[in-house]
Amino acid sequence: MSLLRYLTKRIAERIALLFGIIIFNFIIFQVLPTIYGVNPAELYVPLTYKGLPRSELVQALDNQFGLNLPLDERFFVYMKSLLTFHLGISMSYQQPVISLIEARFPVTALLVIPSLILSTILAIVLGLYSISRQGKVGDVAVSFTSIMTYFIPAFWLGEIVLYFFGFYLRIFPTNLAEAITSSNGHTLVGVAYWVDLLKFLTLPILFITVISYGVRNILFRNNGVELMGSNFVNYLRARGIDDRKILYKHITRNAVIPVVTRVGIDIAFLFAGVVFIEDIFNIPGLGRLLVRGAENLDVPLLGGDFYIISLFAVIILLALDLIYPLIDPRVKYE
Amino acid sequence: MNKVIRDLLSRKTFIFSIVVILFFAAIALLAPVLTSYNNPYQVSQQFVAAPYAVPAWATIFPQYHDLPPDVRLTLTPVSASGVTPVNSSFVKITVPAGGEVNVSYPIRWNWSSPYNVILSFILVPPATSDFNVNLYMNNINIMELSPVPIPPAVSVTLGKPNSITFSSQTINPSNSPYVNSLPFQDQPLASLEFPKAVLPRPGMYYLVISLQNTGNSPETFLLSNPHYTSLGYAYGRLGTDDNGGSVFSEFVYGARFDLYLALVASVLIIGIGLIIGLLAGYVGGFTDLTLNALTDFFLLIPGLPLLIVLISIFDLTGVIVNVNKAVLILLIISFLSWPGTAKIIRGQTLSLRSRTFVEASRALGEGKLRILFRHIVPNLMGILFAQLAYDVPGVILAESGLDFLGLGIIGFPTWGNMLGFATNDLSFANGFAWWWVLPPGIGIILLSTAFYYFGTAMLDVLSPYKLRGE
Amino acid sequence: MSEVIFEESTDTLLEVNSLKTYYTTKTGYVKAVDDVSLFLDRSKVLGVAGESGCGKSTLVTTIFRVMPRNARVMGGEVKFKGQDLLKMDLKTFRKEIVWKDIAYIPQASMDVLDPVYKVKDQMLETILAHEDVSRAEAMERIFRTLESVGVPQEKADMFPHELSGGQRQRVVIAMALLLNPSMIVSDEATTALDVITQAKILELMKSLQESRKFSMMFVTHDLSLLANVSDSIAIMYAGKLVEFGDVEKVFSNPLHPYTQLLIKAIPDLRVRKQKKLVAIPGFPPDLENPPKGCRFAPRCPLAMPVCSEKEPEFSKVEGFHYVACHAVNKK
Repeated sequence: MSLLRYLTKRIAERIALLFGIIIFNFIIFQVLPTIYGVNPAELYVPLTYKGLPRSELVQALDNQFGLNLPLDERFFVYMKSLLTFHLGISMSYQQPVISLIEARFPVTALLVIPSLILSTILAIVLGLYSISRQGKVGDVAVSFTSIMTYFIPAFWLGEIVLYFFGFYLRIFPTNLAEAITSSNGHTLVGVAYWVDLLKFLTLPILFITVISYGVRNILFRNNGVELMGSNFVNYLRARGIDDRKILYKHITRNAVIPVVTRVGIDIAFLFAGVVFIEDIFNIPGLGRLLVRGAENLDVPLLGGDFYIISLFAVIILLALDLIYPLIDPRVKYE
Repeated sequence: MNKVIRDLLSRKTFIFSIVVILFFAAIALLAPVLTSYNNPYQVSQQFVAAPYAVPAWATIFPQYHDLPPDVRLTLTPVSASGVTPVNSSFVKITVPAGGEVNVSYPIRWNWSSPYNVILSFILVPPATSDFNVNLYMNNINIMELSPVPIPPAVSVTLGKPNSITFSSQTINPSNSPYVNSLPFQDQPLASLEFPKAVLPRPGMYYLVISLQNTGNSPETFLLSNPHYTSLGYAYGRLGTDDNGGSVFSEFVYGARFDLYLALVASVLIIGIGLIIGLLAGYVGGFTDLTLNALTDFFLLIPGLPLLIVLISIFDLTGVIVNVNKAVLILLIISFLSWPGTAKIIRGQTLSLRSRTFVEASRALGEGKLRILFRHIVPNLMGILFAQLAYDVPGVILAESGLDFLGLGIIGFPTWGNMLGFATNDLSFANGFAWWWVLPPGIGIILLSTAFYYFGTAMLDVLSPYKLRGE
Repeated sequence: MSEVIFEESTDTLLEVNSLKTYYTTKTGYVKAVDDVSLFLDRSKVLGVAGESGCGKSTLVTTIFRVMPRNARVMGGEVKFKGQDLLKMDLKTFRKEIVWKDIAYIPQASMDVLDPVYKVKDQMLETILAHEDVSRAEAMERIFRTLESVGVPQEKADMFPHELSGGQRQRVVIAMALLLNPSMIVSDEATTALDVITQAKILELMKSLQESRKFSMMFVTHDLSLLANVSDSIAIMYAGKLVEFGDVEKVFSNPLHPYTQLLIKAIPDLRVRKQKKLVAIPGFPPDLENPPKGCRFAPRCPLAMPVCSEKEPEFSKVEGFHYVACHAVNKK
């Protein structure tokens, strides 16, 4: 029963977060322009679209977004359009924003989710190494590297890595178009497409993994070191349980709990990494789309993409909330 | 206080951070002394050397060994019959009727080909039109001067001083016999090929000015000693960028900006974070609930996308026209970076509020504000510095990232946009301009790490309780 | 100090000889256990008492060889069934001696058990670490043992935080009984419990000891608990054993001034008129730089000049009663 309560509470919190994001979107994309005397409708209407005259487009968008309504009424129309994914038409691409996002979302998901999992694993594996060599050179080196990943600009190291592995050693493909095109010039389909896409994404995924594991590694290590001196570990040792079993079974399982909590905060960081990596590696994902939108000052694209990125983050957070009780049995009773 | 300073100085990491911060502060302050180019992104300050020139000191490496520096020479002629010096910079040449006199200027060239070649001199031809002047370099006819300008010949005014300039970058089929002699498809590349043709490798080369008299009486020419200049592929402390701008100047002015950014953002973040955190933690109740929800919201929302969106919207609504873009970016980043600080301050305030010494002062009837500033704020100093350690690197990284993407500052050098430009057209063909790519990255890392260690050292020394986060 | 040979031991199970366990610090050594010798006979109960920080727990962790990283045995031996446990290969010790022969009951604080595994899984793990039995067999033994300490079977399926303090303590006792050891060391096993639960747990341990006939080393800071439980008593102060002897003798005729003060500090409910509660003035010494001579001298009401000059010898007084004090008239 209390588990149910925990879950309802968490889901409610995440829905509130989503609601906050919608309000925030509204403030940025509707209220701010209005304050500065810019008609938001102007920002949403391309000069031409499928040969339709601009006035007709304005009218159509007014109907959809209620852009001519007063702010308070407009909010509900706006919220409805976001919740139903009516995100407007990109001015620079001249396509519905949602179809642009649909094409790019899987790519970003393919980047984010594996690197999230891999970086957590890396954080734990290196953390275990540190814990078992506490205070020795290996531990100090690993911990220092982890702290440094926090300060090394992802975009800088990314370029170096891309140059070295992609252009210099030629281990990984550097061009997506080439990667997913077969030798006779046709775009690959089916399994072959996904295999080659993944081959192309390997370097970026590994890179995001390496730049984002640091904080969780430090967290896991410090927690593990603290646990090493805790009562239950002493008791386990006194019971003659093998040291390695204590480390790999008991310490790991306990120290991983705050790491999972931390992932929630790291998500914001991860998406920043994704924007850079997509830009550097030329990956057509949500982050690069956002940069394109910003370069062209394409408001519908910016708004829609930002909303989807935030929504994606909220969904990952919620997924974490849902698996959390499996990791920490105590959570139900908090 | 003395004890605090002694304690700080006994930490290696603190010394490291102080040295790094002082180093960057010094180069930031001394920027105008260190370099004469204050904004190499301006066209007038570009091409101080060839694009992608390596640092001068890099010529100690074998693969850069032969790269030429910027060269500036005044050539002097080899003495020959008919050539008589007038003064230190002019010679008089008398050419017999129907004859030809070659004036040779030796050039000792110790390097591989330069980026370009510029020659300039003053020629006073005779008043009659029966002459022809040809310039040869490495036995290639590079320029022809004639009173009758039939391309590729260039016209000269008779009997008057003519200021002649030959620049390899402006040669074309109508002003240089060299270009004319090339196969048609190679002509567009003539500017690039020219230095390789005339100065292919180290050695002794001659600029020959050949004066021909086609008339029937001897003629006299006056010729100044030519100035030779060429941009080299090895330049300065840190080489050049793709526009031949000095990377060292960019780095120095970038440091200036990044340090300024770090300082202002620190003050803003600490200010906003402290106020919100104190309000939430000390006032409590509904205020706490609202502020805490707001903090959580900003903590969970993906920051960089938000930053990009906000800056675009401010750009669109015309705010940027009224406000300096750099200032706006600074304000937005600080505005987005306070939540971490606010959250920690709130937690600490909450815990301090219920500590015995605070409760005792409350029992003694001290006022709320007095308690706040006498007991709570001083105890937050350590944690405030620790937040500096975490937030300032964050700000530097966020701003650099924005510049890197080309969405932030582009008008003057910052470390971020240096990296952006340096890696814009990164490919195998372009090679890896390490002298341009590495310094800003290392600068960012060093400055961030320095702030981190500075903050953690201050936290250790100043905090009365063990408050180490993470 | 010379080695003490305990003539009173008839059927020795555990013998600690001149044990020294020091903690290394930046500036030197903390002498947590300094030259301690004692013994425990088969099927007997030895009570070890002293203030917190006197070295009792270090003594226990030394026996089980689970000392903190900075602790080191500087000398002496711990003989169990004639074998020196400290010289034994650690792997063999962990596999063959620990829990099969000597088990340990810690104080069942909140975090004594791994919070993320169920009680039964932690018990199962303990059995399987030492014995090659089937899961079913092991589970059956777990349920039986839990029953014998008064914990219902279904509690085995719970997580440690779902148990009450008393239940957790019983689970920890059951844990010690799993492999039927010949000696159990209980370290402050009843300390954090309320008085009623404490009495019940004490009762349980006593009855288990009587029915199963294991030897028990009962470590506590509460001397009053020992009177009914133990056969012999060892009093520790500042890393030193100050008095050791038969329970009757120590309680009826405490010789060391520290023991006397400890016994006086026990509130006596039978005396109606309220005695003033006795506290021992001063603090235990800094074990990194212990005072010269007797470590109790600075707090001792009977201190003589010799006390702060020469360390008192730990010697026999009369029968099974040993003490280390200059003031005691030795025979």
